[in-house]
Amino acid sequence: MHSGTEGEEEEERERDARVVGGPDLRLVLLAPRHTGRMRPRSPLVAYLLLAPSLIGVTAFLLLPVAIAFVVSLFRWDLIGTRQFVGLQNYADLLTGGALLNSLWVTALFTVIAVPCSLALGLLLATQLVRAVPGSSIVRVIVVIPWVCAPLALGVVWKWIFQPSTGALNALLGVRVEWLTSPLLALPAVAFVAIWQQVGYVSLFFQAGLARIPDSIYEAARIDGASSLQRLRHMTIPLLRPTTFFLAVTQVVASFQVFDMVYALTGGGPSHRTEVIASLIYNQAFDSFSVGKASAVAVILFLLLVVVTVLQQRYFGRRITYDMS
Amino acid sequence: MLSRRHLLTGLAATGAVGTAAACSPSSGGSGGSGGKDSGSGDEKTLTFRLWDEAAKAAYEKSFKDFEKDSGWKVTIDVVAWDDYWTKLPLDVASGEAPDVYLMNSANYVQFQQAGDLVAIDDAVSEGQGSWEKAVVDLYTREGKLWGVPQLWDSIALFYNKKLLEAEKIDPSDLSFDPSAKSDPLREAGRALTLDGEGRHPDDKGFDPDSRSQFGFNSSADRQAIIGPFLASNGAEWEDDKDKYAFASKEGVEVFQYLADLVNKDHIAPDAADTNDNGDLTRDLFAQGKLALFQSGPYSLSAIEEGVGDSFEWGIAPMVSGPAGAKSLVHGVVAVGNAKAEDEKKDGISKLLTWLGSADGQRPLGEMGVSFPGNADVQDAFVDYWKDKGQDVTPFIDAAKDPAPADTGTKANAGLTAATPIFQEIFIGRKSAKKGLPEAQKAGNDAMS
Repeated sequence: MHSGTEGEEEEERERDARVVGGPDLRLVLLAPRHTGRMRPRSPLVAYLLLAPSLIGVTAFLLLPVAIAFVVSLFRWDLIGTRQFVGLQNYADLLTGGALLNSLWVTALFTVIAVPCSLALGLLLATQLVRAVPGSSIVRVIVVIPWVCAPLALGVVWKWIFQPSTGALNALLGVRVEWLTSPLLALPAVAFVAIWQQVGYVSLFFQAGLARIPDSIYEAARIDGASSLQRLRHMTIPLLRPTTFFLAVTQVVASFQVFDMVYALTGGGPSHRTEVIASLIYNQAFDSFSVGKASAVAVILFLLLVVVTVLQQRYFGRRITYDMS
Repeated sequence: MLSRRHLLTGLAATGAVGTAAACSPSSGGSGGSGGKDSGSGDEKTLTFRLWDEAAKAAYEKSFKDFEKDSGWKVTIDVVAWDDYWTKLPLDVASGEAPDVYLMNSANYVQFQQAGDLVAIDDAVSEGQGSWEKAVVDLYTREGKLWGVPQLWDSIALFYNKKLLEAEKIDPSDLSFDPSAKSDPLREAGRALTLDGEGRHPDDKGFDPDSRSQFGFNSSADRQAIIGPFLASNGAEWEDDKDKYAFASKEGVEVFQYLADLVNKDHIAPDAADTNDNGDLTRDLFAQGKLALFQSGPYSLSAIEEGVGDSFEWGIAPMVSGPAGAKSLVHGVVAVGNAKAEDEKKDGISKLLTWLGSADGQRPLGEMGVSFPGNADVQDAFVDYWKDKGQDVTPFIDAAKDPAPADTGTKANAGLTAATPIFQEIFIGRKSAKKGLPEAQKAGNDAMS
């Protein structure tokens, strides 16, 4: 049984911290230690505590992935009997043009939407962290699109983009076929996605900026750094962990975008906005080729794993700064 | 106390049960959606699914009488059209399909071939002689009928009386001829189309971008425009093997004609506006900005509501072509779930019989839902619109010699694949000569 008061124990821990690594490591070393005075607990407790989430992850994540893979090996229209076709669905998709087209469309959408939403989100955040009058109201306003249902936003923007009766063309005074032009449809869809996401992105950047001590900027100002130099050499590097998180989540979200595209263009014109999720939907519920739809879903899953690993490696090699 | 082995065994069992439940489409063993909510106590319940909220009240009224005599209670499940064809296959696959549900011609073959539908000849023994023949033909396959006709529609021409009288145009005398330099439809369209300065398409300085009034609703609408115009020009939609055959000489000719009405003659709204908004032309008509609107009875209520007292309108026979005036007739039927529980089979048979009877369908006509599939009560629908000042008999005439509607396995998939190319033709980015063979191939590939 442990003897001694809490104060004595605290002193003992602080002494250990100084001896080993000094005050900077205090938080690490103040974590509970296994000193032999505590009886080791059975791993059964850990398993019990993990069980709810383990069951959830297995039932709602791993199992659907496994089922999707199994279904991808069959020709099945949901209604009739299943016919095992091995990897034929994958072969058909890789030799046909629909998958390559949707991969290309999704990649283009991601290349437009993710960097723009990150850049605009950062720009917005740098302005919103300033304690100017009304900034708290603006902070709320900019996240409203993010809390709205993408399908509803898609419908509203479809009205706005209408060539003859839409508000945008009325405002511009010209007739532009935003959603039916093969050249403009994807940028228009990406624009709506950026508009929706930028407030969400700025929220995270605001939190990241709030963690950067003012003293660092003061030192830079004294050294004569311009605002652009401070942004480039200080703010952006110091926000790297936030940027990494946002880049990963935004890329994953871009690869999974569906409802907004469905509402805006339905994948048209001529499949120019048919993203991967649209292809999955079309294969499953228009063509009733559930096997092919599952094969596309498996390919999307593998693609996202590869992209996320690459992002992790890219950002992992960069230095991050501990500002604690 | 639980040991590690016990815990891991429990987790594995949970996973296995979950896997089995998720993988097995019919794991419930009930074989039908009504399984869980039927058979308890004295009340026997059937489920009936439809997509039309407007028809729900009529069916509720109809089922009140059915429930009095049959001993069955009917629960109505409305699933919106946009979700209907995604939810139904999932429910069928998981053994949760409703006992009786509405079906359209583009989808029924797939369900019939999978053995999901009750053969009507085996389940219903009375009233078949009164059913609308065009609908019966549409749902007859392999020598058997697979649905009880409920509602049907054909195509006619809605017109704005004031605008046509001003130009002295008789709406019942409109025809088209793609091989001619002009025809009565184009002449009427030009007379009825105006730009912002009141100029017609033939006038000098006409600005198509500022049009304030349109002549006709040429658009990539399979049911009201493409189908009737193709058939009226002597072109086939499908061959006898359910394969698309519309890329014929006559098909290309009439498709180019329809696209030219938009892009060359400028008498129809731009396809950029109509391709993704099928209701736009109907709304333009209701606003008094479109003089001639070819459509079906499904537009009646919206037009009546939209127009109100602002102008007088009427209904004339659809535009005729070199091969006559060939409307599409679309019929909606009630189908029975062949995989329902055995104890429900009798109830399903009774309900299908009731749904095919004059008494069962009368509320559909009396409440103005659509033309009932039982010809004995079609007058109820005609009278409903007569009371509102409209003569809807042109729709009945159009159904007498119709063109075949979409059918066959995966008809919906074929149309989904072909439609984007149709839209490209209407928008003018592709000629019919180039685009139509592409659309035909894309559609046939999707249906194969």
